[in-house]
Amino acid sequence: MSKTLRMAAVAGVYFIAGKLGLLLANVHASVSPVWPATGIALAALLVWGVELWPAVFIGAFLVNITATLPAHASIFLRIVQALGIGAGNTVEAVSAAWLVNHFAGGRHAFQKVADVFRYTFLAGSVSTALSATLGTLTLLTCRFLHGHTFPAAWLTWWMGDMIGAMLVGPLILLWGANPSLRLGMNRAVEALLLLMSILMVSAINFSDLFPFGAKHYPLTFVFLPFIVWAALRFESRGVVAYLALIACLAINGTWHGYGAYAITDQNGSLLMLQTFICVAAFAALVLAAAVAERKAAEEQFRKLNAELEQRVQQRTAQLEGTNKELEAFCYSVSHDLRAPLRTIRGFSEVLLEQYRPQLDARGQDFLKRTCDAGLQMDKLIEDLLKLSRVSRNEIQQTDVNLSAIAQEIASDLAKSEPGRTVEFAISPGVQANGDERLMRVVMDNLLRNAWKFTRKRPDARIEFGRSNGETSPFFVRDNGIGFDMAYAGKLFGVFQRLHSASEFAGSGVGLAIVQRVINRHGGRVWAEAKVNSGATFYFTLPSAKGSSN
Amino acid sequence: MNRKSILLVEDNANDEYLTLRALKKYNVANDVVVARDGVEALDYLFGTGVHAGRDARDLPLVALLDLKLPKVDGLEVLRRVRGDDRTKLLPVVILTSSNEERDVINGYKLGTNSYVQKPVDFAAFMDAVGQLGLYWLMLNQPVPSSK
Repeated sequence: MSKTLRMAAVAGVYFIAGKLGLLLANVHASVSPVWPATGIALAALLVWGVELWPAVFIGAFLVNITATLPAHASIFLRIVQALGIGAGNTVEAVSAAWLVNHFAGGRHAFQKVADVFRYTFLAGSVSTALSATLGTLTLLTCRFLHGHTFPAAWLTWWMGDMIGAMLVGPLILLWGANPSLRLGMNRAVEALLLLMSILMVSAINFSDLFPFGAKHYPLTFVFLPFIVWAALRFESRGVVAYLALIACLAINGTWHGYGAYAITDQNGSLLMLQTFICVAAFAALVLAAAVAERKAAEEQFRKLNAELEQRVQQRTAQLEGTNKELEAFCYSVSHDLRAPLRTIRGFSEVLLEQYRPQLDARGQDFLKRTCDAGLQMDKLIEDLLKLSRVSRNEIQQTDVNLSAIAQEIASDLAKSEPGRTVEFAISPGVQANGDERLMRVVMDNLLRNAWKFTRKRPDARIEFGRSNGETSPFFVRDNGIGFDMAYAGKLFGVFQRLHSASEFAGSGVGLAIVQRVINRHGGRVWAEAKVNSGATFYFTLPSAKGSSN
Repeated sequence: MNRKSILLVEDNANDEYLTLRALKKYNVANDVVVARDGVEALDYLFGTGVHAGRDARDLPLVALLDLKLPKVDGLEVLRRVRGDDRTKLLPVVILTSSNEERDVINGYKLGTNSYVQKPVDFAAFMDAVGQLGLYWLMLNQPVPSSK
């Protein structure tokens, strides 16, 4: 649609709506309590831009230049009042559109509760007051209006415009944005049921089909549950449509003397009705916006959830890939790294065996070192593989009796070196929730360490237990050589050793394995020690996870 | 025709040397046939390929089988050996570097008679291979020949 055509259309529609509105003019021929043109102008400027304002001015000017005026009206005054009122209507539309665009979300004002409040205040009250003031002052100036009717005229004007802004504006904006009438079967039945209910309540209130309308019984509150129904189930678009229907029927009924508000002259009655409709429209729009907000939040939540789900899947796939690579790497280490080692070691031995006479003591020592290094490397490879196995195997959680495991390991250790006397103090019945195999690895490493580092003490003592009841950490304590806490940070690193290999054997993988296992269980491990007064290793395991058993 | 022999399936020349040395030391190096990959091993057993014309009924007393082999790997060799009526009763010992759990489990699932990890320690290696030779050649009662 070209701009000119669009302007002409808006001006034309405005003109027709204005003429229809003036049919209900009663307090003054130019002042109607029902002014849908306000909503039409506002919607047009919100959708197509404020620069369309001349269309509003032309429409309003034409309505008023052709209005019924008192007999004394000269052509000049007629033009003056049409210009004045037209200016007022234009100021109203432009200010409302500008304010709503800047403060109330523009044409999407009905998606958010806060915007509905702002729209109601700015477009519904402030801008309409501007038009009412300019319009009635123009009539007063031209002496088409007596001073004593000024307040009634102003109020009528204001209320008439307000219903345009509160009902007609939203109706056009919402249905213009989405004119679809598609409903599922169930929803269509529901919509029809609601329609019939509203027709029924309208008939009760505003017709002579029932005895209540003529007796002006105050029954308009019966509309409320149906308006709430409409707002909750059919959102803003639905509820304004139903409200428009109610408004039409109510205006018609009140005009003809039916219903709670038809208790004074037609204008006063309509004004009271307008109060009801405006308040109902405001409440309905707020409610529908709240529903829309909740739906938007749910949609957002669903989207985020789906995104998160997707990300989790991606990460899982990456993780699985990494795990596979690790597996392949370990497999290759297990097979391929050992063969050359065996060759080094084997041929050195053959050399030692077969060519011993040709080698002097130094030569033999060198070969011996080569052999030892080969064996040491084999041990390192084996330990590294153990560490990686700890990470690769799936954790199967069960109730594990740590005391029993500690007891078994203690007796194994005692048997392995019958010459040593070590006092074991193992608290009975210490239970944990974890992977039995891996927990055995943890206990084995910790107790073996304690055994190793108490070697030089004649009164060696190794304890296992829980420091302080059910939730406290588990501990393994010894009175061995301990270590300097300054190096505690290195304790759990792979191949980190705090003592020389000649003093205490070991590859430095044991505690790394312990930490890996405890971490995989979601627990924590740490140590406290002092040089020459023993070490205590603590670890925690989170309590039983419900899903695992 | 019933020669007491060992089929050693081994691609690593060093390991081959050390194995043969160990067998010799224990005097069980009767007649060791070496296949350097999986295909060659199967050819030997079935009298095909490079061993075309060999009497396939003449089976070794035991096959010492490495797992990581060129072309056809050890587990696949084992699968084919167990899948063929002529060789399904052949004693097979997996002799390999790995002690990965899945290798051991798959080996037994496919019907190996034994699984031995090659020790890196030379003395232990000699001992292991020697004992294997003694056991399978001297102690073990072989499957009676079909004819």
